[in-house]
Amino acid sequence: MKNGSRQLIIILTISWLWFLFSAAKIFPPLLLPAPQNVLGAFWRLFSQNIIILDITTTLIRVASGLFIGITFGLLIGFIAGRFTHNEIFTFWIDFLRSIPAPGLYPIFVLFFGLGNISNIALVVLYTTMIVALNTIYGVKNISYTRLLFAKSLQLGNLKTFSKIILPESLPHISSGIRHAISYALIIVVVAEMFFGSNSGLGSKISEYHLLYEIDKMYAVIIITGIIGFSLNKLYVIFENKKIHWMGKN
Amino acid sequence: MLNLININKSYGNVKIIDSLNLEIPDNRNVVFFGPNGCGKSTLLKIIAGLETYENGEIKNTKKENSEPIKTGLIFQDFRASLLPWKTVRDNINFVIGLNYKNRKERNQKTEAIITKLGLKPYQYKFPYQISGGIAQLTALGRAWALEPDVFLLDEPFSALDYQTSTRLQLQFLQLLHDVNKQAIIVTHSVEESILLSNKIVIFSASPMKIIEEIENPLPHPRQIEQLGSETAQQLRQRIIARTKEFVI
Repeated sequence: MKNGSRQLIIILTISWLWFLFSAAKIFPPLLLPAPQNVLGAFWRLFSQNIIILDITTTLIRVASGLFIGITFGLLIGFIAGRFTHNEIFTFWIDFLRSIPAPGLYPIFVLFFGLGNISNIALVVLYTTMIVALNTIYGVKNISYTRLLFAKSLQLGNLKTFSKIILPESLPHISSGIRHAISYALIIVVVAEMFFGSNSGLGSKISEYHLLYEIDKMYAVIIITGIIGFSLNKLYVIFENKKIHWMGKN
Repeated sequence: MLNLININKSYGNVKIIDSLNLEIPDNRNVVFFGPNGCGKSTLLKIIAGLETYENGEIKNTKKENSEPIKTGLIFQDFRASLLPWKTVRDNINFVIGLNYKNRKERNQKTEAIITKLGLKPYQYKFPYQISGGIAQLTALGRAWALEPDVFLLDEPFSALDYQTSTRLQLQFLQLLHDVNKQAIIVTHSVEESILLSNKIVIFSASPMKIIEEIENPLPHPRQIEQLGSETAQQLRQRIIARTKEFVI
């Protein structure tokens, strides 16, 4: 059986179980609405053009945070990776990374105020750290034989970097980017939920929660899940195509 | 002729190579035979210019104003030495591109190597998609692409089965003959030493010293049957006699 049809069966099974659960009224509808109601809310959110702006807002925040974060992460990673003693980098990154992102958000609000900039800056900080750590790791774990090969060709620093070190560290960098993508969505949505944003999927989740529009709340949560899942899948497709040697040597 | 004069090499306080003197004559394949870790790979890297040495000198009498010799290194871990993000063809083409900027000329050179080594059916495959033998041929093609004066091989066939390694060894000898080049081969295999060499240098370990240099009179072109000849048997016995004290 193909992967796609297997996944379809799983989704249908869960929907059916959900339907049976809600029809049996095991939980009150305020906790677990019927799936057909959520589907209706889903339809209304799109047909009445309520959610498109929020999806766009969240995606723009995720994308801009990721873009800046990945750029910084690569720069820091490649520079730090060239040093033999880069504990000073890795220690601070490890320490900062261990603080859950929402914990740092108040500091960002103090500096940048409520809104887009704080939100994106937090994404930038975390994705920078994830990508930098993975880049350092990638640069550090270059195949000794291939580095010796580069040396035997007398490639010079610039060419050794572009022809050997860069492609060599791509698999590690790429798994950093993959993690950064999931992180970015989490951070943006959480920040939107709790730190007074006017739009975005997170703000819609908390808005519908406060208004007891539970059908819509569920619908937005599912939309967020679909977006996260699709971003990850799209990236994996890109990764398999472009970094085909990953894990194969 | 490559002349190694009084080469010394230490790692920290450990002396690896102690005052080594060795002549490597032109157009002769020289085998470095010795136990693992004796320093023969280090010596090969010194010749390739990939390792420093404390004092001594490497003279290249073949070239004027003792320009360093051009070497083509084939690594022990030859599969790992190939670039996994490039196809067989591009691995070779990349190296050729270092010396030839003209695209047409570059592609012609690549084509010639690929055809000569029989890599045509595998040229668009990636290193993780090919067998050990094909990976070895690719590594050989890539070393050839550098147009070296001398090929340097570090236990190049040790990871392959007997049939494949023997076939590749004979193919390699034929190639050397066709392009009129010589090779220095590091090995710990007696059979490989006999099949590939014109001269066998037997080393001892810690620090590395030359025990004996043996001339190999087996005629060219080499064939697998020669390993059963009287001459081969005598060579075998000499190698064994010179290494016996280190075995027991």
